[in-house]
Amino acid sequence: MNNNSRDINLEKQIDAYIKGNLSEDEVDQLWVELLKNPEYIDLLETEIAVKRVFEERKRNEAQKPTTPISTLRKSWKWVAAAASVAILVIAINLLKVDSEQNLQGLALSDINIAENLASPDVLRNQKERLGDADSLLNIGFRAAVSGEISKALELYQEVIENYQNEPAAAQAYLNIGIIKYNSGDYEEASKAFNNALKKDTKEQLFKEKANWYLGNAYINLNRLEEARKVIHKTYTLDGIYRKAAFRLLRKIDYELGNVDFDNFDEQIKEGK
Amino acid sequence: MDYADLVEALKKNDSSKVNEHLSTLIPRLHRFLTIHMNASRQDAEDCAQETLLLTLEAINDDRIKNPERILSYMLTSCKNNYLKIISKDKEQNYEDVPEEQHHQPGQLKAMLDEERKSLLEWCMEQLKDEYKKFMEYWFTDPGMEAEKVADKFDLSLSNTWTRKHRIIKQLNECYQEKSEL
Repeated sequence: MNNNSRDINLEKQIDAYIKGNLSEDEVDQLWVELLKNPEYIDLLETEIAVKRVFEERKRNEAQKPTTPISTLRKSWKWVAAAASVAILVIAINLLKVDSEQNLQGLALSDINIAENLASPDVLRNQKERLGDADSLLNIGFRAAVSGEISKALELYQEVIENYQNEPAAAQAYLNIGIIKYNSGDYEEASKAFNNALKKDTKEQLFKEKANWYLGNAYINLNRLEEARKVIHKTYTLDGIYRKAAFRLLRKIDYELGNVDFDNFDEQIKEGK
Repeated sequence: MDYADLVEALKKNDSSKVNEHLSTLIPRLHRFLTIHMNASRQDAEDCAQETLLLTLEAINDDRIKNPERILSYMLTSCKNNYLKIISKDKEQNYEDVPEEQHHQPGQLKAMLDEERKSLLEWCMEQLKDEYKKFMEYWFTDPGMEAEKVADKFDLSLSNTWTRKHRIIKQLNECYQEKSEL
């Protein structure tokens, strides 16, 4: 495909498709064109993957803790040498805090709603029909980020009641759990996270989140055996919470008095 | 390729032309199913086969009145077949089957995606700085319009689309090359 054989309208449609701006009919028309022009399917796939890379970078950036260490890392090179001593001191202090801090202090204090509420995947196919489970999740998200928490909870409850067998129900449970967690109602949060996990979802990140938040809720409820189980599950899922899960596992096992720290890494790997 | 010919070829019993059409269509339908419907490789294969059989049957029974719409017919048929597979899977999932069995296709896809991601990231690193910034600006904000990108990079709208096309094409070629190694 050279520039002369380019189909700019098709490129614009692909862009709109990836951004979720096409109706069902437009998506169908686009795919008819793509079936006729397979070289554009290659480009579409690459574009989706590029978008995911940027989204992941953005997400990782947002999750990076803004410790004095990471701030210093971004500073000018000439400061670096002088700062290294300070970094060392800060690091030692952080480690000290880690070992002295109680377990509840290490658990999540709250969960960022805007970044973590589950919402429908509108990447490729935006559905706008009101009453649809996905639409309800979207409206719930908007309500939650606007501070209308009761309205968001009602909407998520509606999803659960009316769309019990759809993936949206699992997302609704997760979102209720997050909201309850942030209000300090860890008992209800843990029930909601458990319900989310009971739903059959194949999405890895969803399972990671639900296990991780459930583990944190259990820590706040001082149910450490249960916390250990789900945080270990989070660790084995080997995703974005792996390191944080490892850190909490150490602390939980210390509290439970059931670990030999000399072989901790091996024990965790073996699933003990 | 004009797929309206497929109807004609079938009616004329032109098997070499029919096979030529089918051999190009099957992989394209696979890709529709995996990209658009998030189907696993196995489901996509089953679905595409089933769709082709149904389409051939419909052509033979003279049920396709407008050969120009043959691809639309196939896409709709593909979607319906896939949704049927999914609903069957859901029924099975409510039975007591070990969790690992449900998630195998998803895990495999995640592994492949991870490999693709690493290669693509490598390719993205090879881009000129200006192109890296361009792509970052375009993709980091989901609501980003081409007009805004054009303003930001002081390009005409047409040149903005051309630049985006070139970069995606370059990344695609780089990825294809690396993945064949």
